[in-house]
Amino acid sequence: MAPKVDVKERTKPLESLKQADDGPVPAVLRDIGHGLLPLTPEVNKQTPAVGQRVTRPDSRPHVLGKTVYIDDMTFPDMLYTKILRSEYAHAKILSIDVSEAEKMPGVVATLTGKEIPVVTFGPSYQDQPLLADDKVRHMGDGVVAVAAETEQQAQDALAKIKVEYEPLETVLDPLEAMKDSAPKIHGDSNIYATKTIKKGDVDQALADADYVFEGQFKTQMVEHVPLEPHASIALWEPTGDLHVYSSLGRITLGRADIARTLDMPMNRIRVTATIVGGNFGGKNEITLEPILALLAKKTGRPVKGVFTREDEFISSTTRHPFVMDYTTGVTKDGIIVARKVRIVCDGGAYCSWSETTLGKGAILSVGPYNIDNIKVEASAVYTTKTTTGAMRGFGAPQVCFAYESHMDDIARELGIEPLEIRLKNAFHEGSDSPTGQVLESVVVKESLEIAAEKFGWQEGKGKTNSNKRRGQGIACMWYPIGFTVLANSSAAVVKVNEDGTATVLTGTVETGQGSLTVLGQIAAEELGIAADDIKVVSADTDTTPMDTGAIASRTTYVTGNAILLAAKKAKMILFDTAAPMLGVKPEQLEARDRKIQVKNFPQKALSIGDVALQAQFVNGQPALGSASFNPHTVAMDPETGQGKPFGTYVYATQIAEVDVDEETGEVEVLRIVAAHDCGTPINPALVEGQVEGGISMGVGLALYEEMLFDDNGKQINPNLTNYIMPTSLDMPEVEVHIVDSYDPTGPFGAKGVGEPTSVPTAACIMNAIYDAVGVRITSLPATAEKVLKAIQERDQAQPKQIAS
Amino acid sequence: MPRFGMFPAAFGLFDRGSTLKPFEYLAPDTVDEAVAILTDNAPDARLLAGGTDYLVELKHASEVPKVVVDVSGISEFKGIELTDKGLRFGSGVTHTEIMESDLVAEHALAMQEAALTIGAVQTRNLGTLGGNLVTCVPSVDSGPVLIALDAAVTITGSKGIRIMPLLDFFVGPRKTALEPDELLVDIVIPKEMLGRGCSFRKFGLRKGQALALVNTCASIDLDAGKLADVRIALGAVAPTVIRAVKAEKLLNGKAPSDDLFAEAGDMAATEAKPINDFRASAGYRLDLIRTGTKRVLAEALERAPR
Ligand SMILES: Cc1cc2nc3c(=O)[nH]c(=O)nc-3n(C[C@H](O)[C@H](O)[C@H](O)COP(=O)(O)OP(=O)(O)OC[C@H]3O[C@@H](n4cnc5c(N)ncnc54)[C@H](O)[C@@H]3O)c2cc1C
Repeated sequence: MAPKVDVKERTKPLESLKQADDGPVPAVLRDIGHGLLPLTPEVNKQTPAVGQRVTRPDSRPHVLGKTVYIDDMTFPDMLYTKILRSEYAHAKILSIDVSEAEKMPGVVATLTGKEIPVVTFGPSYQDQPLLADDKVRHMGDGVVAVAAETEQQAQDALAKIKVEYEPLETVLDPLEAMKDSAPKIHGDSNIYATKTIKKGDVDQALADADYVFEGQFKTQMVEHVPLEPHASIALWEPTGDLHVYSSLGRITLGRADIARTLDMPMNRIRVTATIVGGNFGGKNEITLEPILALLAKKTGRPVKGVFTREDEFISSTTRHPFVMDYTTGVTKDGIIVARKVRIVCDGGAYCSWSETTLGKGAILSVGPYNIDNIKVEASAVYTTKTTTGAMRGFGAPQVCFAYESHMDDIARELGIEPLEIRLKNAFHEGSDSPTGQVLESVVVKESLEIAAEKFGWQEGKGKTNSNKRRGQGIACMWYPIGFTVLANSSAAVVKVNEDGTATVLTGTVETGQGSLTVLGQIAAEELGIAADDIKVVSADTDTTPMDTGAIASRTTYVTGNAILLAAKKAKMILFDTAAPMLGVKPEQLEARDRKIQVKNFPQKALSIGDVALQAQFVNGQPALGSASFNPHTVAMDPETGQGKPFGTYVYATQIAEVDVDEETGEVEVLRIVAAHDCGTPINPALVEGQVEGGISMGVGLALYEEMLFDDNGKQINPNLTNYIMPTSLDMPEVEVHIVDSYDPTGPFGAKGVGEPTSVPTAACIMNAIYDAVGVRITSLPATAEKVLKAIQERDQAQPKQIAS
Repeated sequence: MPRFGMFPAAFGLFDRGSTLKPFEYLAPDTVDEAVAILTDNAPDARLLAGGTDYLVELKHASEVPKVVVDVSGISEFKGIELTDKGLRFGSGVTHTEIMESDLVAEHALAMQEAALTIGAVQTRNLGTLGGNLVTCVPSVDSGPVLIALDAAVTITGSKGIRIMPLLDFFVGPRKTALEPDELLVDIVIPKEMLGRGCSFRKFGLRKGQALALVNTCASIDLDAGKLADVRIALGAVAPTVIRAVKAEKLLNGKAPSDDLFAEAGDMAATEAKPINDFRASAGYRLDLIRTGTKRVLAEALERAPR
């Protein structure tokens, strides 16, 4: 377990360093023809490393356009791939004829599902084909891949492929899909996963409650829309080994999937993650990799595949639409005594990460509240729509929208102030979670109080302003770090170089969140050196140790712990080396400010470089360490869901201020004040970045984004003209506050922050809309049209008083 | 001819990973050269100004034209100036130039309001007024202001020069009065329309980069405190930009009031035939017409010189 580092003790130097960060950044080199000289800001050179606003080494190349993404990479003789996708949402494939396509100019090879050794894959069930061979289950299913000299030639050849289908009945609505009469998409039931959580006696408690409230809430399907679509290149080394470059966010599991589908030993496959241009969960699954590998094998040439924006929409994973029914029993003082939740999760055509999403969604659906009597029943169902999968928040934004909207409805009916009802019911240190886990480092109340104070929350503040009405809304949440029960380990290697700098090897992938910078800070902290003294080497299955990947907000906590433990082992070697040199015992030493020194006798010290050199060249025992970490969990009981599914949780509150135009329904989010817990902020600047980015996704979910389907299951808006995401003009002012907390199981007290940042946003915006105009939006997104319609219905229900 | 060659190779853009099909690319310096090229090649020639509409179209096109004529170097298509006829915009004037022009700010402020709503900075830097009008989508954002200010367009071609009201230039969705061998030279807002009270509003699905669900503009004069020569133009609510003539009639000669403007908004809604699609229902668009019309009238009144 990590020793507690007193972060507070450092606030003073930290404050002055923050200013260093705000100071003039070295100007961009004019003469970039000479390459990029690394210009290191002072803050990167400071010790202690944890808590510093260290800048990312990759940000400069990004803004100079020097970053090399897959689309920038070419190999001699490289071919390009395009995928023919299904014409039907549900159909049997009767025959596939590629003969005409193969005669098209530039076409070198084609590939069908039948040619893939193991055609299906998936993280929970292997139900998804890389290329459909007998049946298509949504319009995005790939059927044939073509490799040609140019992308255009590959595209042109698709039109010449003849696929004969026997159309089958489609089912687009998850509630319809649950019925016995619904067409079956896989096997004999469309319900493919269920989760139950039970505690106390919910029916009795509801019967005894002073009041019982009900509500139904629905969310929509949304896309991750990374700037860089899925992309990969496969090539075979002359030795017969396969080398895949991919923008995948989890290469260890990616390599396992590639090995499984190609039926190859893992040691013959090398997966190198390239710089990822956006992930948000969407790049947690293989897409083209095995297809490209087989085309490369057939042709003896490197093959590249880059999704178009339309491919990205219609064939990659998306966020699960949820239908959520809440029944809540409360006392007249506003204490929640019972909660029943029913969740139906529209899984689309394949399972992908639905199992996990359903599990997390079910656990979190109760809200961060102490409720003794609980029953949650959740099921995931197949529909003939785009596959849903991993996406930032894994079901949490959906359920948070529901439980926090419901909470405000309850508060209003009881005449209790929204902040107050939350404070009354919120988890506290030692609370018993819905699964019976004793919660630690719980700061949901603190987050509520900080957000309210910084926002200037006052009761009944709704102001008018010509046609617009102003409102404020609050929402809080809890979110777990790491996988639900399942092992999700990380391994790491830390090597101290002879000059006292160090190299970290990790299998995690930097997907744009700055994780490598944070991981470097963790290693640096333990070794008593600065972030700039660390080089983090990541994401190459041939050279870096295993890692479960950039998923589940787990990197800082899980990979960070592995790195911390590895650094500890390397440090022990340094201490063993330095102890005789300083005439003390190893236990009396500490690593600080690039020195190995005797505790309380800083004048008795050696530079870490001198010690490392001694260890390597004199003692012949170089300072290196390897370690792994897996969060401690206890399996959940299948009947009751009781167990310890996660190592730890984070808490947060967001408060939104909105203006609603009563005549057009347009909602303008003016500002969001966010108070987030992440344990110790290893790098506060990166925490703030995550919160701002998460809120932008939350605003999209709240007001704009929705993937639309026609009656045949075809997407109506698979492009950025008609899929409406917020632009910078639609973003509110965001104010980020980091809530003080410390998790003894995390590296230096850190937990995680990636996903939770987008969880409460939609909920607080909906509550602010209610505050402004008195309408409850129960299905996302709250488009202007939907809001106006609700306002018109409100006016019809209560006709305006006409002055007599 | 300063530049020619196969596009996109001529721009160094062609690589094997591109799906843009090659075509012949010509870039004349003068209107006469452009007319000559069109006369020789129409209908197999297409014009390109900023390319923000045309390149999108080309990307999805199954066939490419024989020649693409880049008109962005033609000097006669440049500039915003005050002439004895009125305020003249060369067809090649960009939306950014409109936003930054003092002349426009002084004489036709609503043109700047409309330009600001078009795309994003990059789109406005490249996109031209001419390109916007010639593409002629129902939601064309520079249409309503120019129609509410009674603008006329100058067209040139092998058969000579024609001048017509912009209202007649817009024939239907993506269809203008241009013949295949003709070019749009300029757009003029007549002198008597300059400086009148005028206001533009666009309603989209978000604030930036939005396609108009409804856009609306009103321009008014005041005659002894009464509304005079009111012009209301509505976009995205019919196959092309329309004038709400009944609403205009209702207003002319009356003293302005909020109630009157609301009534005019209701009237304007009866004159439009908005579509029902996945972006918005016809009913919502009608609500926006009512609200939008009422609001632009009120703002035009505030701006009207008294
Ligand atoms: C991301 C994006 C956002 C956009 N947002 C908006 C928006 O909000 N509102 C809006 O109204 N539009 C919008 N547009 C459309 C477009 O930017 C505008 O219509 C722009 O003004 C077109 O001008 P252009 O110079 O780029 O036209 P081009 O693409 O060069 O040409 C458009 C058409 O006009 C013809 N043409 C051009 N010049 C002449 C001429 N002198 N004589 C005859 N024909 C000519 C071309 O042949 C072509 O058919 C958007 C486009 C993009 C890509």
